[in-house]
Amino acid sequence: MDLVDLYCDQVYVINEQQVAYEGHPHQLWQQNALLERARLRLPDRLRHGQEVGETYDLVY
Amino acid sequence: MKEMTQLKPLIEVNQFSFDYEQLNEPLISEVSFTINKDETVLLMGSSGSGKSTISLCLNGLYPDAVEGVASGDIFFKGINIKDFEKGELNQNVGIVFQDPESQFCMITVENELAFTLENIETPREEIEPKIDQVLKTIGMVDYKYHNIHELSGGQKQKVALASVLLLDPELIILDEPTANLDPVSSIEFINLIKGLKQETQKSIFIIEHKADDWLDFTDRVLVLNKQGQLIANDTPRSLFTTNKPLVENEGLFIPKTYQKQTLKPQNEGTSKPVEANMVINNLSFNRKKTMILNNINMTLNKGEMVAIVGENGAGKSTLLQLMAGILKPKKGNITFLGEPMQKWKEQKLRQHMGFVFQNPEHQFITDTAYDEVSFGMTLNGYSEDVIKERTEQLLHNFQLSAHKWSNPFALSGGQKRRLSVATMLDETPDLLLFDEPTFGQDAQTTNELMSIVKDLQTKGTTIFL
Repeated sequence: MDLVDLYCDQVYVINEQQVAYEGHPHQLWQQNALLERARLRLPDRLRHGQEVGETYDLVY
Repeated sequence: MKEMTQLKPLIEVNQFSFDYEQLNEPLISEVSFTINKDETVLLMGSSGSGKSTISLCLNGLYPDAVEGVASGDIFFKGINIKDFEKGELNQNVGIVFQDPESQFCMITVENELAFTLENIETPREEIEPKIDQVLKTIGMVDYKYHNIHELSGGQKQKVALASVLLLDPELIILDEPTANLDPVSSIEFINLIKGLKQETQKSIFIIEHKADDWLDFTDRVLVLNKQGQLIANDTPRSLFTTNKPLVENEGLFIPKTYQKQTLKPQNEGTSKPVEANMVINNLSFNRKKTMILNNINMTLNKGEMVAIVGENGAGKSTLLQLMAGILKPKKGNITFLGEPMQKWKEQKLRQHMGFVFQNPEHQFITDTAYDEVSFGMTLNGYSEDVIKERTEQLLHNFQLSAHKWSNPFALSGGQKRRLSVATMLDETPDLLLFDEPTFGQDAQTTNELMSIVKDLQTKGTTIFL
């Protein structure tokens, strides 16, 4: 997931045989319900932020 | 950190060697360490270093079960494990294996757990309450009557853990328990262990080649080198800072928390000319009656890096194989560089599209790095001069010149990965497909590869992960 976060221009999420998301990765990380449904883990950069209680500005 | 002096060893391994054949170059060589009560110890080592073998020696299964040879001693609470009755030690030292399937005997969760309890002669009236209790511990009360084979990998692994917990062992060995789990299930399993650790005072011995997720409750880390010798026995902090080179030399991953560089996203605000390389329309695919992909639409633009993500079994590999023309769609179509996929001739297609396998070793077909890179060009009928020049250039670009006559299998992990990409670049491809690249795991290999990949991107290649 880190590669997706750091380098990809576009990401597709496949869930229940269909495309459940398409767009820039940084917007995907805000979609908690979808991440949970598709069993995706946040990239390292954001996970560690969460663990120590920092907040990241996800508006690009 | 716990006070070492106050702890009495639960396990003491003393100058222990083991091999399946003979002891002159043993698989495990004169290893000594202790595991104390209430301690969490993590054992790292590259594949083939004998990590799993150690765990089977600790619970007394080896050397007898495999007719191996051993020297030195292992003590459990001060008693030599050779002096235990068969089966006695297994109740005190429980193991959860990498592949949960390998340890089930019954069909349903309830029966499996009951079977464990019957084996240790649990009184009949206690069986049901104990099963309910352990299912509560692992958070699977609702799955009591489910068939084990219908559970997810993560759930199976929890059931395997429950079976071990029912024996109430003093030491739990976890042998790469998350190796076959998806990232979310894997972290769920680790959190379950962490919770257990807080509630019970069990000792935990974890075997892993990546320490990251276990670190915040690991007291000590042991490192086994390729010769089966113990080269470190240290706290995580000291090992991954002061003794970092030791870990790196073994090709093991330094946990992200201890890697100096924090990576910054490099994918912000770049606007690229939009020109489609591949268009996928209403694509559906099924195997027998199971729908794998249903009405997928995608557009991959020139010079873009695109990823597909989804849980294990979501159909990612199937989609990649459809895109590479290895599988044919049941419905819908794929257009590559303006031509429908079915019109592409195999050889021509391979010149415009590269496919990098998940495991680089699966790609190697020759005896040297040089032959590996030149193979495609030879097939395409290039002249010898052209082949020689381009092969040398590619090996140089991928920092493999010094290894050109090495056997691909003898290269290091990072070199293998670079070579597997180099072999796809005899022509600058329009589309480069990566099937779950595993190179994101150590910082150096990732950086090396990403700079190569980004260079291709600027030349207009579409990268698909």
